[in-house]
Amino acid sequence: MELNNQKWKILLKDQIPSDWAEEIDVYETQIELRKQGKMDEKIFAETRLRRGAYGQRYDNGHRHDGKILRKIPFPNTQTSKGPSTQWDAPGMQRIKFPFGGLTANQLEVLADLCEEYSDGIAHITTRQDFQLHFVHIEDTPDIMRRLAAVGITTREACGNAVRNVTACPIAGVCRTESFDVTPYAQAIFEFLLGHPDAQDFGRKFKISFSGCSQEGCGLAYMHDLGVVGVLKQINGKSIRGFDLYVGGGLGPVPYKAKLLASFVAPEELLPLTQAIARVFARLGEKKIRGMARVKFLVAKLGIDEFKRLVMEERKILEYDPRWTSLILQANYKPEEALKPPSTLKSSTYPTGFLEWKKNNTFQQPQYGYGVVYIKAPLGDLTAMQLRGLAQMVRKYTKGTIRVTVEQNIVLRWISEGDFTEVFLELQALGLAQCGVNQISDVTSCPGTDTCKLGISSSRGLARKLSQELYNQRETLDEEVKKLKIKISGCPNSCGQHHIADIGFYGVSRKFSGYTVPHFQLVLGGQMKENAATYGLAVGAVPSKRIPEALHRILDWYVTNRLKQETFQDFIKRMGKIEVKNRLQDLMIVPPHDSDKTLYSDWGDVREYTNSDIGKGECAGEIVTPAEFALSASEREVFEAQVRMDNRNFSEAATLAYLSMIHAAEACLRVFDREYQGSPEKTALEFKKRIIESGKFSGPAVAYFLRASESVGRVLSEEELHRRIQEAQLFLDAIHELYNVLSNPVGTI
Amino acid sequence: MDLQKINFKIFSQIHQPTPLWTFVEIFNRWIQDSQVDDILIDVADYTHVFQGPGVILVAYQANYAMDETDGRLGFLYDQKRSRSNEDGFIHAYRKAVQCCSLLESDPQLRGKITFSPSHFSVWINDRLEAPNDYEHQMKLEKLIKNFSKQLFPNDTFQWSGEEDPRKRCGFEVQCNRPFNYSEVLGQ
Repeated sequence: MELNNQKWKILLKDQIPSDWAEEIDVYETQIELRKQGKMDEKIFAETRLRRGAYGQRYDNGHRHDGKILRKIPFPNTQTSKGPSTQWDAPGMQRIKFPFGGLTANQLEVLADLCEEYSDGIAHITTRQDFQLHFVHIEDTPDIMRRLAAVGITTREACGNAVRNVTACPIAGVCRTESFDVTPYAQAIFEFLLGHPDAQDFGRKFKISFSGCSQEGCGLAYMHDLGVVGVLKQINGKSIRGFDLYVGGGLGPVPYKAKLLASFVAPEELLPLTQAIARVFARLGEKKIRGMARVKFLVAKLGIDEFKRLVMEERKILEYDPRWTSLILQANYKPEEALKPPSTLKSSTYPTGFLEWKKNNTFQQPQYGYGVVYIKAPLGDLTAMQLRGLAQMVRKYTKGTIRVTVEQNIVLRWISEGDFTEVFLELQALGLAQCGVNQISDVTSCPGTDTCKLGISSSRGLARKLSQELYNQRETLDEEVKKLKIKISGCPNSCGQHHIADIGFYGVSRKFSGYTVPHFQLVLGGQMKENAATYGLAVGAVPSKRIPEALHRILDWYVTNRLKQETFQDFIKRMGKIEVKNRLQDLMIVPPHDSDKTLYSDWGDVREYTNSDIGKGECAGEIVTPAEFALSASEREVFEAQVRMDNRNFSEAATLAYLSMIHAAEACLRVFDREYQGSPEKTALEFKKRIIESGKFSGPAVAYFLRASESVGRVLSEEELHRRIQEAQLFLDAIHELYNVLSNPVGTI
Repeated sequence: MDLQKINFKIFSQIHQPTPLWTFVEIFNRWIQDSQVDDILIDVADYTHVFQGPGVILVAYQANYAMDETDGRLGFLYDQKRSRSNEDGFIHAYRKAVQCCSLLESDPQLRGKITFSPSHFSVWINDRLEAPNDYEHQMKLEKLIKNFSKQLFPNDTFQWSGEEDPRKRCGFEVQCNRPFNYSEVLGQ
């Protein structure tokens, strides 16, 4: 078969490990087969996903241009990259970097690739990956070859596989860690990459490493498998071990991981992980995607039973020499400095240096060395910046750099006497902005910019908040500066909004036939202690009013907080009713005809809608019966949260369920305006007419069915917490469905 | 050299402060009004990035950007693939100049910004076909000289090649006199 793009293959032949080269060749052949119609589109979709080649917004060939839904006439109309995914539509290439570590050479290759195949930007994700956007599928094999030639594989960057293994970005140079977990993260990555026991999952599996239990760098509790390094003194010796947590995860409904095993010996780390993978592959859900993460399996079985199954599986595993060989390599592999230790000697510094040094650097436990944090706005880097960083990596370190889950960059082992020079070089690259890891350093997923699932513009909002807060940094209260803001464009949590002090996720609401982008405000989460606390939604505010809402909350906190009261405690003390009361007026949306401001999103000039909106749609009615039901549902889910806070669990459970029933009723009223029925009847009708007819799908179906099936059963506090969140998400999904059902789409 | 990925960046002069965000609005309008002969896909906003690609109109044949790379503002025509039978350089240059002309006459920009079709950078966005080494610089120089001779046989040009081997093979070119849009597009 004659394939395109053979030349990089020849040129890089000797630089790519042979097994990696073969995999990429196979993938290239699969592309050709799919083009010729000889490979099923669903199989091809999973194939490319497992190589990190993702779909991107508008790849179904339609985009609303602000006036009409416009067809994008991509040339190849015969082939698709997957269901409803046009061949020629640009996609996204995810590139995984275990523990976020990169070399100078890798930075330079990324620079080349983002120029030649993408839009000139390499984007850091919230899981220490990089992403290139607007990439053509036929370019992906060469991208993979050029990455492989510098030691990077994109294998299992997406799909139902073990995703990038993340780790604390300051592991090895941290003051609070037990020991450097980096080499163990590398060992588990090597062990599981392409491992036969990790190929049959119903859903992705994410692993994270942390060197301590108190900070928020490793985020063990929010991972499918969270590994925390622990050091114990036994018979006068320091012995290394790991606490293993399983079944955590964010997604629409966050679950906190449970302790599976304490102080696991390093040589047991890989076999135990393998046993977990086998149990997950064997017993995890495979059909219902929304129930397929390991968190659901752990919740269903209970941690004790899950643990028993894992330990049983461990006993019967056939010995693998890599369990020890990879760990032996890992046991002692410290990162070193390039230069001798030194201290800052000058008494005069360039403008801005002292503020930068205070905010963006810290001293390592190793005398004379420091860590430099570099803020990448919205996680975006240009080719020029990547090359500049590569030069700095060679000049100041032994050739390595790390990216963080907060979409920033870390230079480690910098001899402190070089700080001034480092600052000036970063300034020339436009990368010396202060306030890293502070409130103005907003984390965001791609949202509506490029993600197919995005509902609201998370990046647009992040850009707005970040710029505003940065400009106000000199007048901000010190406690406010410490807060974290994280934004997701939809409930799926790629922006990790659950673990922020102040989180947002995108939703939409409809008013008199027009759709308005909103963000749900999620308060009270925290990254500390490995993401120990998840926030709860307090209400949806129109996107354009979020800055005002944020400032109200911050001002309120500054004025009314008790001495040493944390933001979480403050929100808890004030209560959700009070929070909502503070924001109530911002939630009222003026009619489209009198003020259109709220009807578009941040960073987007188009009116927010997916159809050519005509006034006739709602026949002049301001509020339809369906909208009344949605409104009741909104109220009930909010009241459920308040009852939960007041520890009135029984009423909270009833209200959460009623909220779902009213949302379901709203849907049924689209077809039968006068529809009314008991909760039981509504549940049955919704199942029959909406779910079984295929009008409604996704994880929210499972939320509804689970709630319907457990009516009358007493829920534990944890279950109830989840039920309320599921009710909120179900309501958000019904809003989306309602928008579609009640708003026929026009296309040209 | 099989050159598809030809890039032209036409440098601009700002006469009145114009936020880069304006181009998000303009490029979205270009999509609505099908202003460019290409399959127009989306607008990407990188105004928050230091000396970055600015605002990009992403399309199938090319990307069209108000670009700030190296701190120099200009209109970038970033050709990804070409179906034109015209000489590749002439085709790409004319497409770039056409867009500059459109921008200059845009009601939101009139009088605020002008472009210099006689001052541009040209490079090949393909390190396989055109690595930035002496051999390829020579080849490219010859091609670009042919192109300028075809379009402007009586003019003289100043040339400077991209010296950093990590960057793309290309040249900054400036003519001894300014060009009118009509003399570029009318030919």
